[in-house]
Amino acid sequence: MDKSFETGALSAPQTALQSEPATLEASSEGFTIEAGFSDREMISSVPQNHSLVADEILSVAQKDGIEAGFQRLASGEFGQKHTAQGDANAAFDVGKAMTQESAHQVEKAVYEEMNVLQPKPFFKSAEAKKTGSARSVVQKDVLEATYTGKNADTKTAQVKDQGNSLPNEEQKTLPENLAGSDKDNIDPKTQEAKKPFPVSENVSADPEYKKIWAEEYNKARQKGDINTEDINHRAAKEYYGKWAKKVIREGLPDEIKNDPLFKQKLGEVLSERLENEKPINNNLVVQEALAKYKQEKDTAAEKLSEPKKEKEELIDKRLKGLDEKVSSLNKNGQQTEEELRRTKEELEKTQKMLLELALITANMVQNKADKEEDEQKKQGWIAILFKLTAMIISASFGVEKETKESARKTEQRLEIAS
Amino acid sequence: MIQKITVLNKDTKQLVREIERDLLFHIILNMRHLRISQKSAQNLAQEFLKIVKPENKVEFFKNLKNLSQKYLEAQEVYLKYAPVYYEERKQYMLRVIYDYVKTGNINKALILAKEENIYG
Repeated sequence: MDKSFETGALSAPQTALQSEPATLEASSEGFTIEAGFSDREMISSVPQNHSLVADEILSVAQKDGIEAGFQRLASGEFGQKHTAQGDANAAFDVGKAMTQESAHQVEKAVYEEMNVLQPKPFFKSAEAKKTGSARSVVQKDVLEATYTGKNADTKTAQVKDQGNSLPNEEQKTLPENLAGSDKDNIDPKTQEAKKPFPVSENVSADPEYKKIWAEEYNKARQKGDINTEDINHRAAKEYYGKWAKKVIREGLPDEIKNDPLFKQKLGEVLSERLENEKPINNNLVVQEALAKYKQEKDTAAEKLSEPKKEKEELIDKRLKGLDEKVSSLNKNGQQTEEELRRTKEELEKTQKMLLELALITANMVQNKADKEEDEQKKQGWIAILFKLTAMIISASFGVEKETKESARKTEQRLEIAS
Repeated sequence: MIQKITVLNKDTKQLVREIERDLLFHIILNMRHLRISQKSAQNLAQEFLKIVKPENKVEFFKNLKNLSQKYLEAQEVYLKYAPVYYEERKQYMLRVIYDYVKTGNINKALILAKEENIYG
């Protein structure tokens, strides 16, 4: 009997699978949104994805510097640190290889020696061994009921009786997690079964589902225990179980096989079974993963069509935020404009003052020219005066180029004259 | 309310670094609040990296202004730094003009006042 799956052989895939949810999130980084929000799928994928990218940029900026953060953002190469897809693929491959290679042995172990995963040292007597096998039969039935939708109640009830007949001494030798009646062993599973198993509206409207539900209802009525929650759950299990069986029978399409969600579900099922030390059966594992996959797909599809209102609210909220932003920006713009206007006024004042100064200078030059006795120098002063007057006039009319030129020339002449 | 920051006396490299930090902060924040798409953020980062090594502050602020007309994040950063920069520059220029007038360099003052377009 191949027990490789019990110990080291499975530790690697389990580790890989544990990191799968995070890595799959990262592997969805390919999504981007454009303005307009026309694509609902994109909107729904945005928050997590963007948050991840933002976190990644932040961590790069913190670690390698701001420019490195910008470089990473500009390159668009996100999620490099995560070996998400790699991990998921590896996990899937390992799981697949494992289930394929050891499928025969595992099945043999499960169906012929059902107590393979039970702690044998605790079953001392032949009777206890028998009971142990009986307990395993319960497990098998519950598993079958869970994955195939078959009702295991009858068999379980029989075995429950056997379990209850377990001698007290034997019960004392069992560890805490196995001590007590078989009912205690089954209870967690039953509790799990009682958890709500959401079914989308589309599925609940499906005639096939309705038929299954009616059958389950009749069974419950015959037993005299009508619990709608249980019926819903069993019907859903049956429905998805049938679907999964059908898909496996027809051959698993590549589309599903390569779907990261399916790989994730497969990983979850495998790790769950490994954690709970449940037998690994190729078909059952794939079937359960498929059922979970289909269920989540249906729920997601419904969510896509349902939360129209939520999305509208999100867009409204965003628009409102934008409005606030625009009004704040307008306010800032007005402030800037006001600053600009003030500066212009100041400049105009300065210009006016400078022109007055230039006029005073011109008067001074004229006085100098009037007082000058040397005719040649007097002519020079008059020339400067002309230039100054020209500069003042042109500056007053805003003739920039001429002013600039004449100002430079005047400056030179003033320097020469002085 | 404008924060009390100085821009004019700062080294261009240091100023650009501070603006770069603020811009990255706004990008990350807006990505988390779904105000910017991944693609837009990437484009903004690419465009910013093109202007990140300016020859002087005037050129940098001119480029940042262009960027701010396209991206909200750049606008936020521009509105934080540009008013301070232009105000400081204006004050500096007025002081220079005043000094020219005081020392009798009226033409220089006039030229400077006319040539200097404070708001670029």
